[in-house]
Amino acid sequence: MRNATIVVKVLIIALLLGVVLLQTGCAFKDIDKRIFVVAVGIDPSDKFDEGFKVTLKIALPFGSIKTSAKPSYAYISEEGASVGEAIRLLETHVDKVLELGHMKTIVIHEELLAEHLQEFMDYFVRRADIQLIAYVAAARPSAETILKVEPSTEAPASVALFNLFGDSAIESPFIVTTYLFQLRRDHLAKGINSVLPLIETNENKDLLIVNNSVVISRKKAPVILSIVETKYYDSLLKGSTGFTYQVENDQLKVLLDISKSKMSYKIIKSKNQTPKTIEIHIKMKGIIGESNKKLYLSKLDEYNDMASKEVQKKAYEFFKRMQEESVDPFGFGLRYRSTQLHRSDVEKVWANAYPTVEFKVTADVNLQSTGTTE
Amino acid sequence: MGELENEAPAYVNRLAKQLAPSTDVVKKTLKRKERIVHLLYLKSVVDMMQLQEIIVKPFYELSKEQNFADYIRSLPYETNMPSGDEEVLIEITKGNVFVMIDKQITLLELKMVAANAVQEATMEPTIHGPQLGLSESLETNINVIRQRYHQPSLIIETVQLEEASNRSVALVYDTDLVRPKLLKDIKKRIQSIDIKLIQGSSDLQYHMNEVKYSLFPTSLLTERPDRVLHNMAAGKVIILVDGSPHALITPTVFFDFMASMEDNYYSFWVVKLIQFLRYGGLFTCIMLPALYVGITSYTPDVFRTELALTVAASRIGVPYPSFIEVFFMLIFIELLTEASMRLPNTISATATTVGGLILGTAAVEAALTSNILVIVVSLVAISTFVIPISEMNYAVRVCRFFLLVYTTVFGLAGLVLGMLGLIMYLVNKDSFGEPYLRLFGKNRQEELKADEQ
Amino acid sequence: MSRFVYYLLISNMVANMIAAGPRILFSKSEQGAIVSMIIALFFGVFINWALIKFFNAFSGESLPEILDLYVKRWISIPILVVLGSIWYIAGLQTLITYVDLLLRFLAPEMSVYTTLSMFIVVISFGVIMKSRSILFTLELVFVMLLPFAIYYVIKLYFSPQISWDYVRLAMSFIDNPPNYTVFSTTLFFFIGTFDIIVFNSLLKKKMIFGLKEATFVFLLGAFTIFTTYFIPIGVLGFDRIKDFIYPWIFTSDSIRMKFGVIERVVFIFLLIFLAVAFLSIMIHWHVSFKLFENVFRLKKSMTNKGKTIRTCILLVAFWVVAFFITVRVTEYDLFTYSSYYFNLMSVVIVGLLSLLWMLNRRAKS
Repeated sequence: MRNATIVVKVLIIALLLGVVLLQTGCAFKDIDKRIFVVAVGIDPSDKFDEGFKVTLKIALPFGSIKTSAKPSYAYISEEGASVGEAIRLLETHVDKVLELGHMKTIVIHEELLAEHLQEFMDYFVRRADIQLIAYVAAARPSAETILKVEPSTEAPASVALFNLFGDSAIESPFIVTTYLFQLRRDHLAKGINSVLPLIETNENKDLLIVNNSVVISRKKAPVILSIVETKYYDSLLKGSTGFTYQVENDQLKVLLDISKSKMSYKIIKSKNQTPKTIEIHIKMKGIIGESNKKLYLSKLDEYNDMASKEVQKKAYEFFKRMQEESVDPFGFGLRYRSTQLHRSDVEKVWANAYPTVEFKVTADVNLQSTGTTE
Repeated sequence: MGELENEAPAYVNRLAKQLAPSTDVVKKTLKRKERIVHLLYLKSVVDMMQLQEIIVKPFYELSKEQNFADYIRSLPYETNMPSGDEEVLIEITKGNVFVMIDKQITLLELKMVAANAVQEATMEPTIHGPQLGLSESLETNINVIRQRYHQPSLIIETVQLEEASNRSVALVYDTDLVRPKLLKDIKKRIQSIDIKLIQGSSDLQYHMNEVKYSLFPTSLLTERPDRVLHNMAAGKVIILVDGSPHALITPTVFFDFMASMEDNYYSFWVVKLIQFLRYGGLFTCIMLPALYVGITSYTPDVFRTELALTVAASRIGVPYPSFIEVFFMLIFIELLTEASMRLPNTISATATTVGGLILGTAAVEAALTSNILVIVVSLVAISTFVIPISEMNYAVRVCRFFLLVYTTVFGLAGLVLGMLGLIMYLVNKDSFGEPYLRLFGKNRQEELKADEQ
Repeated sequence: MSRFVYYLLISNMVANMIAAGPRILFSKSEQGAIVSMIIALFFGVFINWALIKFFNAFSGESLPEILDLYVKRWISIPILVVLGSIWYIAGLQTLITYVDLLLRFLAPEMSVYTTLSMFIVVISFGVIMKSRSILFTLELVFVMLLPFAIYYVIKLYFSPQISWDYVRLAMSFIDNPPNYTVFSTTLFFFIGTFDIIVFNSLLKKKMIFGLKEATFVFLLGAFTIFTTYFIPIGVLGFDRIKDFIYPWIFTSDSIRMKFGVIERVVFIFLLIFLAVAFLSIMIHWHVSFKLFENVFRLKKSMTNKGKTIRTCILLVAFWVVAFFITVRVTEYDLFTYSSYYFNLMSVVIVGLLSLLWMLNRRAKS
């Protein structure tokens, strides 16, 4: 053992000497010498035909956070033939290291979604320091305007864009959250289309409004989902709660507060393995939140029926519209591919069959109470 | 003839001469009719009352028929007669009374020990459990141990050190539980100590260590009798040095240093919580300063964004790189700890308050450090004291500087590698043939035996 | 089986999850990966059984000691050299992968030399440490990492973002004919046990490999292979999974801890795997070092000074080769050579097993 310790000692001395000589401190950068980019916005470029305009939203750590009333941000923009080039250029515009490790929101101009998405997605995934759990969103009217909105509810050291999508503050069925890795996965896969939230702002530019979403496809222009459709998409596919829905009967008008929703579906195939119908079953649980008339607990079953019919109808319309637009945000095609042994023509079969496939929707709403009053 | 009898025999004279210049040497001859007894002792270490009661009084009171020599031989105070002048002299200096009747020599142990009172346990205080520790006298300490452990297998072996003070060292162990190879090893080490003077168990511990430059302690000093027994029952050897109020426990491994005696006195879940806190504290005080440097200067992506912004904001205006800042603050806190230990109790509280509160705040105000770091360093300082044994406490404090350097050079990955290196160092180290750091399965004894082959 | 053998097995399995292994598996995901993995799983359990059985006759003896007893020196030297190099490369492959990972994800601005040199002290110490201490370190680090590992696995399997449709899609390729490269890559998951060719000198107790042990190894292997192959597919999708160079890093970067101290799980992952990869490198090189030590044994009794010189020379050689190769190799090279290495490895394993079988017969007669 003694000789071993001698060897170790010699090694340590040699190493420390070597390191002191070699180490010029190139990787050592203090946290106050870095600035944190919190969001990136991408717009079409005016100068370049195929280029982009990249805007960075940088959070500035100013003085003591407790005493400052408003968060302070800096915005820098640059145009370039590619996103990477523009960011490289932007690095020369600031005196500190541009740290992209905390960049958690990528905002993309609506018009760029159709053709260029793959291009900059490649850049973001390829760069190792950018998180794959960054949120991706579409912007209207432009990414730059959205980034520059500083909502009046925003507190220092807390970024509104993160709170919107992060689920740790607001959780709403109107807000679709799509992570970068999900976007890449679904965008490149055959048989599913990814959905991005659409961020808008008001006239005063002091509010961020997220309640629409966009279905994107590699082959065609993005399809905008309405508020109701967004809500259905979120609660059916991701089981989002807080789903409120208005149900109207002849005279009765009630608002449902859904606490649990679940969708299951089965693809029924004909003999030669082509898909024929998709049987969708929706299960929901909740309470009645608002009514224009007196309600009776004994009549809960009636309300259940009423609500089920309504949900069934709305969901069917939604699926039908997606079919007409020939997009597939629920991934029926992917499910079809995965339920059989692989054949080379499986995608073609699905593509041909999808426009004519039938939907059979059954809904089962289970209301548990009429709220705190009858 | 009478004349001759009055004269002390040549042997006594010779011994007395060797002790001569000391003023406390007493050479006495008791005389009554035909009976003559020569006494030789050091009056500073002999209990005069006992001498009077046991030897002098009976000498004059015993009637003619009774033989005084037989009486002396029947006394329970007799110690074994060593061979050779030198050894006899050592016995006399220890407090034995040299008694010579005719040609017959006896050594009687009539020791007077000034400090044989059992002291209060101050180094490792606990709320429950015994409040008194060991004393400075070997006999009392053995008495304390015997009193609590009634087993015929409890062996007390006394070894004499061959150095200036000729201390008695007692090895205490349970012969049924101890590994024979370990015992042999310890005896060999004690015999081979080549040093001028041993003052107490702490020096002995240092000199028994085989490795000259070591950081982590391989034997444990304690003043608590319950810890002594706890370890003895686990098959360890206790070394007691005369004149030292601390017992030395060998071999000790890492986990012995992390055990507090209170673990035996509380209920199960409370103990688990305390242990969790203790190990948490250990990791905090080793890793936290390095973690701060690693994250703030190499990989700030690890933080949540909000935290990253807060830390960055708190560092605004600090002119030094993070590692200098951390070094500065750590050394500051070490100084504070050292200072408050040396100062009398009444002042130390003031020193800590002035140093900790006022200087800390002032340093932040002057933008010499960030306030996040002040929190980090105070957390480190507090968690250091969760480690129950002070030797381990010191070793850990040194380790964190090592880890800090490694992280400063290599970043977060360096922190993990440095930590692994530390673990490997501890695992590879051994204390009297027992691996210093290891987890045991159920077959602990089996594994130990396999090692010995 | 001694618990330390399981540790050796597991450390090798886990270290392989980050190295070139998964990428080779994914590259053949449409050409028979699944069938080959299933075959390799059964064969892997079989080679473990065979190894333990053959070593049963020599409990408490390492392979060099056994060779000394039954075989002439001129036969044993080439065997030891081949095995030593194989084990050295196994460690080197993990080292290169990890240095590459650190450079890409943890400290992008650091130089290759600095990154490599942080391994030198700790790994060298590990290589020349007592074999016994290596096993204890392994155990200790495992126990410390276990809570994190369990948390991580649970987080992976219960992540809401994981899409099981992709996993099912990947399974729909089950009917493809098997592929040799995938087979040998998967088999490499099971060779951790083979480290006992050196560590057997510490395992004095006779080991049993009965039905219980076989089931455990089987389940462990099945779980590891399933996780290695299907979880990244569930997270990153099936159609373009081949493009990822380190699928597992991207997989863990896709997991988010909503309320954790750290939001990005990838850092916990990187540091846990750094510890495991480090252990794996240390074990492989320790085995290799012990084998080479036996090659360069001039006389029966060597002086202490001679031993120190030998240790130094071997260590310097280890590091010079490591530096030379790490700096030069590209990711493509790493991928190609790794697959060659895995292909060769399964042949060597079969060879080693037959050698042990022969030695076993000699010992009996």
